Amino acid sequence: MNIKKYTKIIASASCGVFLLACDDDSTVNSSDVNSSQIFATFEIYSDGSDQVYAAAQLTKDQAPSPSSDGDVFIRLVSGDKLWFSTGDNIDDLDFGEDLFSSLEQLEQTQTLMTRAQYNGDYFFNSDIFYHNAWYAGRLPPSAEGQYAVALLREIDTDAKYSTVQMPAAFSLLAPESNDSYSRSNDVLAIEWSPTQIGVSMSLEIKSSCINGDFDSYSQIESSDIGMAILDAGTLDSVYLNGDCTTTVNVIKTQLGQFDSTFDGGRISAHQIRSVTITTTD
Amino acid sequence: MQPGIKFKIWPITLCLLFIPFHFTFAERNMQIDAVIGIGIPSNSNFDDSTVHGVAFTYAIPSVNLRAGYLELGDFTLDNGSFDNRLEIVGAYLELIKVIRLNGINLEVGAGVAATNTEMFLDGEQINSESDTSPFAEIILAKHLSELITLHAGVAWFSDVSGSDITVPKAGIRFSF
Repeated sequence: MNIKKYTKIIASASCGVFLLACDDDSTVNSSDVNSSQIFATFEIYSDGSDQVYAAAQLTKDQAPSPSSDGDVFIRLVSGDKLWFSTGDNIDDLDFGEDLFSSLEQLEQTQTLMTRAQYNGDYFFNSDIFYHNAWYAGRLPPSAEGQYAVALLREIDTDAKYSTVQMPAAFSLLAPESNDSYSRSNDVLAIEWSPTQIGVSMSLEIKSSCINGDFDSYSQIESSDIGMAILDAGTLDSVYLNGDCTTTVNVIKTQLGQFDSTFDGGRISAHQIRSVTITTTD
Repeated sequence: MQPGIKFKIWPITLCLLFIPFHFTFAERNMQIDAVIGIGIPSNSNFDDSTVHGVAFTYAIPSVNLRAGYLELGDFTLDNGSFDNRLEIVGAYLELIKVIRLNGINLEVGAGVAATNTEMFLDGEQINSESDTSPFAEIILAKHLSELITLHAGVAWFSDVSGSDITVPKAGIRFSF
């Protein structure tokens, strides 16, 4: 009897310690932070699939720093919620009399962001620190390409109007899937269409080899001209040997307008296209 | 007309309506129903719900007056999760015409339901609305004894928060 009792106590205590350990001292509850003290980082990603992904992270007083030292991350509690939507704020909607149809529509346009764990997908050049408190949500793509993230608060001021326009969809024309290139001898020409004015461009190229070697390369393009040339040797690396699977990611990014209630913030939308090729020495 | 008059008259009117019946008919004329059924919305993008209800009936020969509470249930999107749903409950008042057949009663009723619909998205309640919906129903009732009756039927609710709802149902009735 006592053994069972103590087992329960130890198990409960372990769970408590485990839960506490999930967030370190650099994380505070949202109930202890005013909206005007929050720096918001919102990132929206589209990879051309039937889902658009949103990631959000809130930090106190300042933007998350590259080293993450001194950053204070905010954990949502006490009825504070982040909603990801295709533009309209859930707090401002008129549902009308037909709640059945309204719910159908809402499922396509609004979602509650939930505490998330990093799964390694689609977060290129991200400003979010995925080992600290962050939130995720996904929705079907919006026809207009407009997205918004709203922070609704139980007590303090809501910050409902952070919006961004997703860069237009595009297709990768070259290289083609499963093409083979020599990292040291071949020029790699990356082409896409259509081009778009007003977006920032970046490339990220990740290689992983049969023997477990891994390396990545990234570069920022000055403008969207529909192509980028990587000279022979650009992908050559002492960390890569033999045949490697290489994923080429082309990313168009557009910044939006974050809600002025925040101390500061950054909301960005990223249109990503990827192709996987084989690279050799 | 003085504004207060109708408030003074209606309790008296009710007494006049009900008390004579109560004392006139010797048979058991109070009934309690427990009902279970399936809520089928006309909006086919939603799954069926499970319906529960209780009702109190004042029965006089050939006509019944019934008041009840009905949980029309949780209507979830058929391509979604339980987190996205409408929860509908309501109270209703109904008049029923009882037609006595061979060993079985056919009850044809019509009434009005005052419903409340709560909308949940991703598990969060985001809206709550009240509505008034007319409904009709047909019930076949079989007396097992003087006290207990089994019944089955179907009810049609018109425009409950945007969807008609059909409710095939069955129940047990206790008379006293």
